[in-house]
Amino acid sequence: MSGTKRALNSLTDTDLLAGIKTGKDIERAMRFVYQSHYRMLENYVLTNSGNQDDAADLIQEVMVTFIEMVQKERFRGESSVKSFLYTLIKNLWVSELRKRENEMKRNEEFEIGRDTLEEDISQFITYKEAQKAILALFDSLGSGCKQVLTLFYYENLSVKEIVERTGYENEQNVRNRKYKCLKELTDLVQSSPTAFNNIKAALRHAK
Amino acid sequence: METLEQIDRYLDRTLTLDEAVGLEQNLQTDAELQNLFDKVTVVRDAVRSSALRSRVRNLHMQLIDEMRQQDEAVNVVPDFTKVRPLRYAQSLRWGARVAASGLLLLAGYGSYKYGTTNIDSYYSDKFMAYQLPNNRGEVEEVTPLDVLYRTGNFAGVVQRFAGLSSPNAHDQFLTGMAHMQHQQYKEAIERFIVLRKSNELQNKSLFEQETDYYLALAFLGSGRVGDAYPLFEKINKTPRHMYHQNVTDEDLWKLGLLRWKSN
Repeated sequence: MSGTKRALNSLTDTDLLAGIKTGKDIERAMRFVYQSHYRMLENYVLTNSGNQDDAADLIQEVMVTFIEMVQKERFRGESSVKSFLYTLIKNLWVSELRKRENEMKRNEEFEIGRDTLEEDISQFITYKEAQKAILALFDSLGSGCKQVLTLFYYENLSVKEIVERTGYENEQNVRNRKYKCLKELTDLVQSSPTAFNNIKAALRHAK
Repeated sequence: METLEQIDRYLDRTLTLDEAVGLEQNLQTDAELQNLFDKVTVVRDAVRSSALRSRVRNLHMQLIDEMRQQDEAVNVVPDFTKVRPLRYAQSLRWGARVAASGLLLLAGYGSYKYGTTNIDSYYSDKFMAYQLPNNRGEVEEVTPLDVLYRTGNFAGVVQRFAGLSSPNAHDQFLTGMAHMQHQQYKEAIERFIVLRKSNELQNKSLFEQETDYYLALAFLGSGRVGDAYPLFEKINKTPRHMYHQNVTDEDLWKLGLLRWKSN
């Protein structure tokens, strides 16, 4: 076994959450989760009427939700990471099955005994569902806008770093572009009142 | 400073204290400003989420590739081999030949199939040992029955089951599968039917799809093709059934022949 694998195997939940929280260790965290829990998550889907493709899609959804909930401090290690991931996949799969208008009996079973943590997860999943319409609006922007907004909001780069990394001539050009793109996106949201109202309602429930 | 920029900088916490207090006061009274504030908050989060999704997708592909390579290196048969690959290619080729050769060849093919298809060969082709999911024991409790089943002690499973005062659905199913391993089809049928009746009474669907398939096989093993056929037909007609890939149209056609032969 390599040193890297040994280090991964000994990663504690606390280390894992800390790495995700800062956003600097996402790859290491994901590698650990896949090595330790992927089969468990996959088996859950396979033994509940899903197939390989469903499992692969859903596990990615689990990872996105898990990372965001940790970063937004909606999960701080109240239960083990393994149990939390299991609860996540269960809820996401139920949500997916509901969308497919299938498996009503199984859904009823899942509703029983839902605790506070599951309630929180369920609300977050509702928010993520509503967010998909906003993601589609973001996707419709030009590549230049998507790049500059991602560098600002996801990579958390400074204006100076963005100038160094891209072809912008100076910092003012970057700032101008950022606000032009932000305005374009908020205007798109303005023109999609249903999407905006849905996500606002989901946010209200999540508070 | 434009309002949009002011909100953005407020969310980045780069406004001065006076500017931040001023904005907060305006937010209390200005509905339009509050609306814009909400939009900026939502779109900033969407930008982050979109980037995270992209990153997770790329990492997922990389990690899955690595896991496959590891599986191959240690020559482990991955879990997903439980579901057999589709036989579409084979069926399509056969279909094309039939179309090209006309009804005479179709009649010949039918005769050939009729002569060679029998219950034993069909059963052997379709039976797969049921494997317990790996997650059992990580989240759910491992039962003594699980341990006996996993170690291949099927007689032990049956014996242990006999001593249970109130077996649950999992116990019923696993014991049914243990009987299947010993070709004790009558006993397997009994276990699966008890489980399905219990589901009906409690309005549940535990192991429903598993028992569709294995009860059909147990019927087949005991020569009751007529009872097996509707279950196989249900699986074939339900694309989302977990055993759908195991019962093709051609399989159903073969079963039709077997049913006809058994009458």
